[in-house]
Amino acid sequence: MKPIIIAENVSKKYSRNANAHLSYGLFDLVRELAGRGGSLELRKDEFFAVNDVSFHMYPGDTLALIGRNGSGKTTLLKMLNGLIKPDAGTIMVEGLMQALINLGAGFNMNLSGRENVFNLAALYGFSRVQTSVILDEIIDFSGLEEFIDSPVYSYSKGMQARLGFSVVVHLRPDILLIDEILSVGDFAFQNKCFTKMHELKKNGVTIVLVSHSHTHVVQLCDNALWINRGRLTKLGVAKEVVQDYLNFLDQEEVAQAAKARQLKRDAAQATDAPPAKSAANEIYGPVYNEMDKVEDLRVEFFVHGRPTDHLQVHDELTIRYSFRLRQPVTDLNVSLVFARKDGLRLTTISTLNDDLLKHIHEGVVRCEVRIPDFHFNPGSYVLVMPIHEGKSYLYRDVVKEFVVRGDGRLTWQLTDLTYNYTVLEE
Amino acid sequence: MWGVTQVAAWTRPANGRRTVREKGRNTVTDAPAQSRNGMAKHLYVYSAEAQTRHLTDVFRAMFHGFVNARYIAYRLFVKDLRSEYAHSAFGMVWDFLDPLVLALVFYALMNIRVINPGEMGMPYAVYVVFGAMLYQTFMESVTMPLEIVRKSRNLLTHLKVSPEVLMTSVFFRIVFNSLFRIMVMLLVSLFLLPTFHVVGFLKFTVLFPAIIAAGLPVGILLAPFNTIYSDVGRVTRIILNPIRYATPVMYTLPHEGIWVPILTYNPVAAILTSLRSLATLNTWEDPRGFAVWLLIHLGLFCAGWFIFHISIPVLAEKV
Repeated sequence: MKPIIIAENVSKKYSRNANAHLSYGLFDLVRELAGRGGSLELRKDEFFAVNDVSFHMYPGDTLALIGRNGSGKTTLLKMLNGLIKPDAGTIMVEGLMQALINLGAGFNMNLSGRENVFNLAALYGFSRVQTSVILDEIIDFSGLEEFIDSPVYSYSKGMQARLGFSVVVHLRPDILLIDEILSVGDFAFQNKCFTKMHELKKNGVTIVLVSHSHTHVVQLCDNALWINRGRLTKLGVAKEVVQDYLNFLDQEEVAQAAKARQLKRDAAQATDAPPAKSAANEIYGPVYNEMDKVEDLRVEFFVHGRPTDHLQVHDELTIRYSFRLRQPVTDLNVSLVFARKDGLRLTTISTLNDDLLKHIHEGVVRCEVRIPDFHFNPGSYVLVMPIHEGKSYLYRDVVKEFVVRGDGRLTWQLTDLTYNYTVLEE
Repeated sequence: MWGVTQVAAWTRPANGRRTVREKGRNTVTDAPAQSRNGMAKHLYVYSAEAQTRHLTDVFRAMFHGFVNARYIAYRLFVKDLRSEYAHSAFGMVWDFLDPLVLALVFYALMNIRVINPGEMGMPYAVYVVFGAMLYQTFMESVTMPLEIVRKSRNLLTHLKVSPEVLMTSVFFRIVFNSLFRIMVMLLVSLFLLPTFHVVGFLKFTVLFPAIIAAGLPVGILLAPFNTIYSDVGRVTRIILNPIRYATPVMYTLPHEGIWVPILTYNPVAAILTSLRSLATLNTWEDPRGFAVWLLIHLGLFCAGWFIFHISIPVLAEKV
């Protein structure tokens, strides 16, 4: 079988500050007119958005482009669609390609949805008669029957995505390019879109999808191409590439967390001042860290007997903490609040259950908490530690920032339950 | 599109296999010649190589772009128009009133003898309305294409639109605006001319695109450069004002002394005066100048179109 898309050593450079280098545009234009074509020489402020990327696809293949924001996915997609010219390399595409790269592209906000369908279809090469034939199908799929004669400015982003996607998939392309735009639609429509894409895939349509959802990538795409800083990092079976990409993200997260901690330590040493109330920590609830009621607070995580801030999903985690009470208390209790870095509180372990610390009134408190299966999904987390006397705080602040890495399996949402899965035979 | 090679379905041999060009050599493929939607299946090659190294392919793409542009350009034109009138109660009435008011102003000025331009073979109001309307069309033909790339930024960066579509949509818009001016010129001729020459006015209507042809090439030629440096548009607009006064728009210019080279090398004067004399007196004022300048403008248009076509993929990432 003959490939339907061939990309050979494709590179594209951009200027970080195009406004400051208008002459580059003129130079490139004159160069093109003079027959000299693209150049790989980087000028001041230029960088490679896509750097020496090669791959090919056969009819019916589905490829996901994955990578961090700004890694070059959309630039590559635009070059595949012929919107921008490569600075090096060659792309060969055989067949009708339809691309959905931006929500509003081709839409006029003042016109009705119906008129925009005709306009968008015309821009994709469809005549009025051809569009009229599939109009009902498009409107029906979009689910916008009620609003199809309303101006598009009254549509939400999700409704625009519905209409745009609906037009593109009904034009029966040979190759479909979809950028990360379906994320704005509601779950039901996203589901409908992916069902449609599965149907197109079955019918032999070649699909290139840019997505940050590894679920979508693994479920829809056979292969994935991971781009990092413009370079092809890995190309292969979607599940494997996604897993490597997620591991890479974990490692980056770990490195960043370590860097942040180091900076914090350096700052604390430089000022030699007691830790101040941190406004950033207030996303995890009230902060009380005056250290006037407790002192010598220490919290440590242990995995396999060694102190660490880096866990792996399903590790056995031991938390040891200690502090000294600076005044006698009558109703002591301590909570361990686990929260995601973005502030979402996930779970709390408290001594209120069983009144574990009620008998302690003064002196040093030392505890150990063992969690046999720590099943938070990979990501960055914090541990907040409220120390109460009755309902009033003796202390409350973030005491630990830690990272959970993946264990090589795909995970979704917040936690990865421990389970036994059995396929029952008939 | 702008790829180095675009192979149309008509290169397909009768045995069902197609000849496709890859990297400059012809190969034969057994792949189906039709896309899933029944349209002809093309092979597109996008490379870093300059398009100007494959002139035949560029000219072919320009031709195909032009042939296929009409409907898309029409939709774009209608889209812009409807969008413009979306919040207007009177819509196109304003387009008609604008030149009509200008005509009425000059008619009134002439009647109360504020202006006494001397002998010019026709009522001054007719002279000046034709002059102003034609020059306005010329100016619009220069300035409207200048902004077309920047205005189409959203389209060019997200959808595959041929340069010819943009050019044609601008042309449609200029023609549309011109229709109102032609109607006003017709009314002025009917009411103010001592004798209305039907044949002359018909000749004028048929040859009216010549005034668009006088401006469009410059606009198309400069549009890519104006996309990079907006100064190009500013300078162009500034230059168009003195040209107005070196053109017999509001008054006749003497055919002697320094005015002879000015009128001879004025790119729009011969076309404007010829169109005006045809419509009002059914005579050619300067047929030779008209023909020579029209040919020059057509040549310039071809050069402008070529540069515009080559420029779009380079500019699409810079707008």
